[in-house]
Parts: sequence; structure tokens; C-alpha cells
Amino acid sequence: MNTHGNHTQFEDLAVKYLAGSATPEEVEQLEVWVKNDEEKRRLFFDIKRSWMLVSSSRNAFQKSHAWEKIASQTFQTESKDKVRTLQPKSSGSIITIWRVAAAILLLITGIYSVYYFAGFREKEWVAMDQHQERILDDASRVHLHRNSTLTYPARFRSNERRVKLEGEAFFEVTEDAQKPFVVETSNIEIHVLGTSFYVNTRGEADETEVIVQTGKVAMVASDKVQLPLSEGQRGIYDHDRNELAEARVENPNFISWKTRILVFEDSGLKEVFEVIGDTYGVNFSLAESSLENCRLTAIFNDKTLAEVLAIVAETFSLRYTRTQEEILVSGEGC
Amino acid sequence: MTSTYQPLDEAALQKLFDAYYSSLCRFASGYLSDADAAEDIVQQVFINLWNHREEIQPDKQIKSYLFTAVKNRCLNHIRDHKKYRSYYLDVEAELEIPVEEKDTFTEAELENRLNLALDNLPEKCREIFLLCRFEEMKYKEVADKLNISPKTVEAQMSKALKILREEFKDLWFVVFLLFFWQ
Repeated sequence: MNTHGNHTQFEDLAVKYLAGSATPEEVEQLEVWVKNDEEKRRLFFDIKRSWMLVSSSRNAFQKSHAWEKIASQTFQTESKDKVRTLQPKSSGSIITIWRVAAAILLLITGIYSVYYFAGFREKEWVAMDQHQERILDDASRVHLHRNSTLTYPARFRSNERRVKLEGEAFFEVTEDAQKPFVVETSNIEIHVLGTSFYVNTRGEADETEVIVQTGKVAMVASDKVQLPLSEGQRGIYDHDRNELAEARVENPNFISWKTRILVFEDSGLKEVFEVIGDTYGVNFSLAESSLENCRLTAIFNDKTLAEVLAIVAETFSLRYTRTQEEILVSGEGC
Repeated sequence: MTSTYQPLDEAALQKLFDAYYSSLCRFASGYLSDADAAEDIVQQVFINLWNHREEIQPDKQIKSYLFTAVKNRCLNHIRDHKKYRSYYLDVEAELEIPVEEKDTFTEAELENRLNLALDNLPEKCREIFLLCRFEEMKYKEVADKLNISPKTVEAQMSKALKILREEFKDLWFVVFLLFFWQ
């Protein structure tokens, strides 16, 4: 009787875990059971198999919708670029093509909107120790930096595309004038039509910063406090004063964590290692303060951490010592 | 030796998509409880395949490339969302289970069997199971929605899995074959 009760309790927990409803303590308990008890391990995988298997019964994957999304991210973008570069101004035939495309899209949208209503629930996407990339429902692409969180709906509502950001991200937003894209941070909103831009909600002194790579965006703190930004511009929100101000882009490496392109122009080693650390997710510290006098001018294009470190070491005769939490940089200095 | 293969083109990509998209999604949603995330991952793999089409040779078993890529991304996803998941339970321990082979079914036959099994669940049990498994609702949410206690949800879910396990006894290896057969 006792074993039976124990068994049932185990099964309850196993199912609860698979359904994503177990608490951290329960997960731990289950792990211990499965690890240490052969019989329980078999039972767990038996249950898990049924859980996995049943996913096959619902062919609910939205194939056409998915294909549209993939197409728009692959050959369609490429052919669009091609048309643009070949015929920058003539437009007659292109417009016709786009009209047809729009009509087809509308039709498809009509058919698939039936499935949409189920998808408004919000998802929380957390990039922990590594930056990640995702494509949203509207085919916009988001690069989320380490330790950042983006909350977004599986399917956007009809009037706007709204996401919430905590941390750093780079957005490439698809154009849709009818459906503005809004990035909400704890203090302000960023309104976008179709463009690419960078947002950091934890800049120096806790400010929120936005840098626009292409197109236009507006930083909106309230009805009265707004700041339009266009290509190459940077805007800063001062939380204390509730003010928006335009500023120079001082750091050319603001999205190096995404591009792995590092640009140094007469930069001090302290800054250099901060940027390298941020890009590759490593901590550095300089052993001697005389190292701070060394200045580096270099461009690294998508190199591995080891390659970058080797080149910098070669330039200033540096040595690296790996400790548990960081890499210690030592050398004679400049 | 010069190879004469054509790099992947639009039609070839669509062909691969038609052939494998659904199985890849199923494969991924076996690993992840979040079906949307599973679909995202599969889409990313196709986009990535396209972006690297110059480097990938079609004769180098694209199917196994696709499944491996999806699996790796699922594992990364699990690692990055490990809040309430156990990497051991989701991934590692699986390898310890030996695989037996038996006769195989077609995908349609399988789907039929699975749907039948779901239809045969007692009504209340089925309702709760569908909400948890396919709407990805938490026990607490289901309990609130149906105005019952979370304990009842727990008991019904256990019951559902017990019945399904019995129904699927001779079936589980099939999934394996569908996913990994090349």
C-alpha cells in the first residue's frame, strides 16, 4: 500500500513536471528520484514518451504561415534587394508585383487569421549567458543581449506590435505603417514604423539609450516629451529629470555583441578589454595601472576571442592568466 | 574530384520544408513544452540552412543535419530557460534508455492511433489534458479556468497519462523511428 502511494505520488510529480507546473523544489525532488531509482527512471521515461508522442496527434503547426516567414527571411529579401539595386528608380512593374503580392498575402492572412485568436498570450524570452536572436510573428528580428528580457505576444494584436524590453537589444523591424511597432521600457516607449535600432535600458547612470541604424523612430516619455531620431542618431532619456536629449554616438561598439565587429581608434586598454569582455561574455582585469596608458587602433571583424586576444597581446607584449571568474591581463605597459 | 552539386535553391528549400517541417516541429516540441518556441526553432534552422547553403552539401544527408540542428537548438533553449526545468530530466538521462525495434507504422496511421487515444479519454480528463498539453496552461491556470482545485487537475493529468501510456505501449519506438530514420 505504501509503495503504491509512493508510486502515485511519483507519477503525479512526473506529469506535473512535463506540464511545466512543478516548483523548483519539486523538480529537484524528481531529479533525485529519477537519478537514483532504476524503476522510477523507467517509469519517468515511459510517461515522458507518451507526453512527447501525443504531440504528433495535433498537426497544429501552421505550415503556410511558417513558410511565409521563412521565405521572407531568405530568398525573398535577397530578390528584393536585387531588384532595388538593379533598378533603383523605375517602379511600374515592381508596383504591380507588390500589388499582386499584397493581394495574395491578404488572402492568406484571411485564411489564417482563423488560427490567430489563440496566440495573444505573452511570452517572456530571457537571454541568459549568451546573446540570442529570434524572429517575431511579424518577421521582425530581435537580437537580445545577455542578461536581457523581452516580453512579446506569440501573435501581435491587430492595431500595434508591442513588446517590452529590460536590458539591451537590437531590433530590425519590418515595415508596416498600419501597425506601429512599440518597444516599452520601464520609463519610456519607442515608436517605430520600420527600421533597425538599438535600445539599452541600463545605460550609464541608469538612463535609457536608443541608437538608430536605419530609418526613423520616436522616443516617447509622455505626450509632451518626445524626441524623433533618424539614421545614425542617438537619444538618451534622463530618468531623474524626465528629459529626452540627443547625444553623439560615442561608442562605435554598441552592438559588437551582435556583430562581433570591434572598432578601436586610439582607445585605452581599459576600454578595449571592457568592449572585448562585453562582446564575448568574459571579465577582464588589468594587473598594472601602467597598462592603461597603452592605446590601440584596430578593427576586428568577426574574430574568435582567442584571435582577438592573441593580436592584442602581440601588440603590447601582454600575458593572460585565467582565474575562476576573470582573465587577468599583465605586462609592462606603455 | 570536382563535385557537380547545385547549391540549395528556392525550390529545393521548399521541398525540404514540405518534407520535414511538421516532423521537425513534433521532434522539437517533444523536447520543449512550448510549441511556439519549438516552431521558432525549426524556422530558424531553415533560415540558417539557407544562409549557409554554400557550405552545406546536399548529398551530406540534409535530413540528419536538420534534426541535429533542431536538437541542438532545443538543448540550448532548455539551458537558457532552466528556471523550472531540469537538464538531466529533459536531455541527459534519455540516452540511457535502450532502443528496441519493431514493425513500423506510417505517419498517418500513427496520427490516427494518437487521435483515437485522445478521443477515448474520459471527458473531464481529456478537457484538462488538452489545456495542459496543447494550450500550455499551468495547473493553476487550468484550475482557475475550470473552477476546480489544482489537486484535481493533478489527479486528472496523472490519470490521463496512465491511460495514454497503456494505449501507447507498443507505439513509443515509432516516434524514434520517424524522427531518426534516415
